[in-house]
Amino acid sequence: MSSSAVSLYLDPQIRDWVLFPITLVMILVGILRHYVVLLLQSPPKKLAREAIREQRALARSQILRATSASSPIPPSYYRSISNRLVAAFEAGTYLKDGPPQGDAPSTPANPMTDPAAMDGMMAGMKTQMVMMVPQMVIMGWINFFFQGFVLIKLPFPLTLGFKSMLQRGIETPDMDVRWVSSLSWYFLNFFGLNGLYRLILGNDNSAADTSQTMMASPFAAGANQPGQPQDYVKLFKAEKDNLAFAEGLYCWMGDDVETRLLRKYGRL
Amino acid sequence: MVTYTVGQVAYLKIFFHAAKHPHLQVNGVLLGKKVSGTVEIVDAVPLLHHWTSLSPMMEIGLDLAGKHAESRELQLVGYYQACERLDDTALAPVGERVASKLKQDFADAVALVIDGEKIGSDNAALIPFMAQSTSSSWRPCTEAGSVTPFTPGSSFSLSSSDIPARAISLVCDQQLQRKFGDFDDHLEDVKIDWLRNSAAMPSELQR
Amino acid sequence: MAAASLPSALQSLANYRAHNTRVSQEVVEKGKLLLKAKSASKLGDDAWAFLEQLALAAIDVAKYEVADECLRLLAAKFPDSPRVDVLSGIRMEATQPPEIALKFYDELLEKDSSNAAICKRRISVLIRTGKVEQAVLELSEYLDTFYSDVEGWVELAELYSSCHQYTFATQALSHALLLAPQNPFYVLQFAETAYTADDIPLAVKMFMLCLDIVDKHTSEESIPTGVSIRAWYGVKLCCRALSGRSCSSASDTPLPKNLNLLDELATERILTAYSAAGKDNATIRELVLTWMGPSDRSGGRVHFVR
Repeated sequence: MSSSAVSLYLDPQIRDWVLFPITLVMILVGILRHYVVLLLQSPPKKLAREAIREQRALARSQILRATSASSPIPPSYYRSISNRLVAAFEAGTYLKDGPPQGDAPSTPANPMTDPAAMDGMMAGMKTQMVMMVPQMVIMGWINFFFQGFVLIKLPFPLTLGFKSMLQRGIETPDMDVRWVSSLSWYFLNFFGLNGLYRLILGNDNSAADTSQTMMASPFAAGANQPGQPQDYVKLFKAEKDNLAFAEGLYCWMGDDVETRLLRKYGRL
Repeated sequence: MVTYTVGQVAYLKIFFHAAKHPHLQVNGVLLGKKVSGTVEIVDAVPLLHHWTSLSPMMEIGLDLAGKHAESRELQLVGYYQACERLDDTALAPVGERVASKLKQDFADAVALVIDGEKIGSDNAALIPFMAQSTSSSWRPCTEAGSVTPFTPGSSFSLSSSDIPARAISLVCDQQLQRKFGDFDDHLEDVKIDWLRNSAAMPSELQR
Repeated sequence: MAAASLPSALQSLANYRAHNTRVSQEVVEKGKLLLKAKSASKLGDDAWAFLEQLALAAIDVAKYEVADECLRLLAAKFPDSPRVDVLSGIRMEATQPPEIALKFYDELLEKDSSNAAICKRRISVLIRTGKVEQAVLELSEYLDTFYSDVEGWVELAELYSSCHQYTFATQALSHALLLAPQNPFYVLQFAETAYTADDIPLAVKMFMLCLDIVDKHTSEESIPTGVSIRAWYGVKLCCRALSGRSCSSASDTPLPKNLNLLDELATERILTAYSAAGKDNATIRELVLTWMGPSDRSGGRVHFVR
């Protein structure tokens, strides 16, 4: 058994014309992909002032609520701000398209009809395409020309469990696990080159995160983007209740400040 | 007709105060006394540069400056102010209130506003404001024969005509305004002598 | 000489940037050396921040040729940057009439209505030209969108104060307090504004709140310094105003309990500050002592509100 493994001899031509080219092509394609993605990325779309206002309206009441248990502002001021926010949330003053007309049912925005959301999704898909197409081409190239090639021998022993990982495309039940097939070498590179890309292209390059983005579907990626359509009508309604709750907790820091101060200086 | 003379110390202090905070509004009060129809403005007490339109520290400063004047047998005879903008030479509403208050104790009170356009010249860069007899508002002083204040024939004069040139040279060459402090500075560091400011005065005027 | 001092000049310039110090004269002196040495190109990405700083400082001290040189370099590198637009707007404000600057800003805003920096520049031009009413209007609108701009709220409060709308000023300040609850200066400004608005019970509470924030890390033996002296003076003044007459409060703030004790404490704290300052201050201390004396009620209030 062991003698057969030793007797296996790899032609140096395989090293020069298969192993190195596959590795080199993969590195170069990764770098190329990084720049193509950079080209494809449209600059972050500028939001209109109304949209920013809508997005930040929630932050206002969050700021008010954050300190309500020991608020720096006196009761009358707190109540007037709180009431104004509640009224504004109720009337929909902060909504991008103005207060809702009549009693039209508030439908969650359909991403296919909202051009801004559509743009976000298109950008996600474009990046996905740039990620996937080259990988498929390389895989086809390897499968077509180098199918069944054994490229290198790992310098350390491995258990049989690694056989399916390292000898993909070669159906030999009793070959030593240390031999690596061409398709497996491709996969090893595919997952293992991230460190090299980081070294060459810097930390936030778009070549390195292939493995992560490959897993996600373009639609899921679109949903995670910050520009996702949110139903502000509902969010504002919820925030209104939060404000009422915070008002119950409200306590002014100035209520007993004189006692605190006098006690500190030993006058009480 | 009452005439006014602005002394060297008073002019230098007003000038230094404005030079120290060129991008802020500053204000203060004038100390002096009335001798046979002439109001001699001999000294100035700088008050605020932070929040010139808020009253609490102004009240304290006024009280203290009044007591300081008393101890030197002088009176609060007026108010001065410099704006943050060169072209702004209006007496701020707050200034009117303070000057009106000073007028209750000293009938000939005057308000001086620094004239930013003239501050680099050898002429007195001050615009006097007087209370209108009919209303509580203050207007730039208009004199008989439309004489510009601080020119010969006017009821306003400097105790010596080379004071403005001297003030400029002290600011540009010796940077004396950096040693100058007002009531706002004093409230941050009580070591600063805002009432006398002798450290910022040229040596022959130090007392 | 220049070669040796270049690194140190760069260091101090970076320092000024980090601390936001306005020392335009020094910046221009050091920056001119650097500009001449052409070392800006060796600085990498820092060069652009340095050029922006130098341009602003040069405009501040009216060295327009230096500013123009910086602007030219910046505009060549970032042709469409809003930040460079703001800078050229400031350069325009320095020498051109305000109407032209306003028009320039209007055009930029038309392209991008969400540019906060340009909104603020526009407002500052309005204030400079004395159009306070419109400035207040635009600033309120700006803050309605960019709520978290603390400095904007403080500026709004100052604008209101300058036209005697002290109640509105306290409202604007209350937003600043919400955004930065631990900043004693805003509390102090709130207190002084409330006092000016004749809401003395509220003012005394806020002065104490300011002390509460400042004194958090000091012991009772420590000497009041800086902001706390001012706040103690404020407490003293309010106590004087409150004792002997009933005060109305627009915000329905209750009077503090133990007013007499508070009065004594404030007197004691202020005198401690003067005693610690040494002998030179003896005369001022005497003066302050007579001012604080119990029988003395000579000073009246200056009513800023009609």
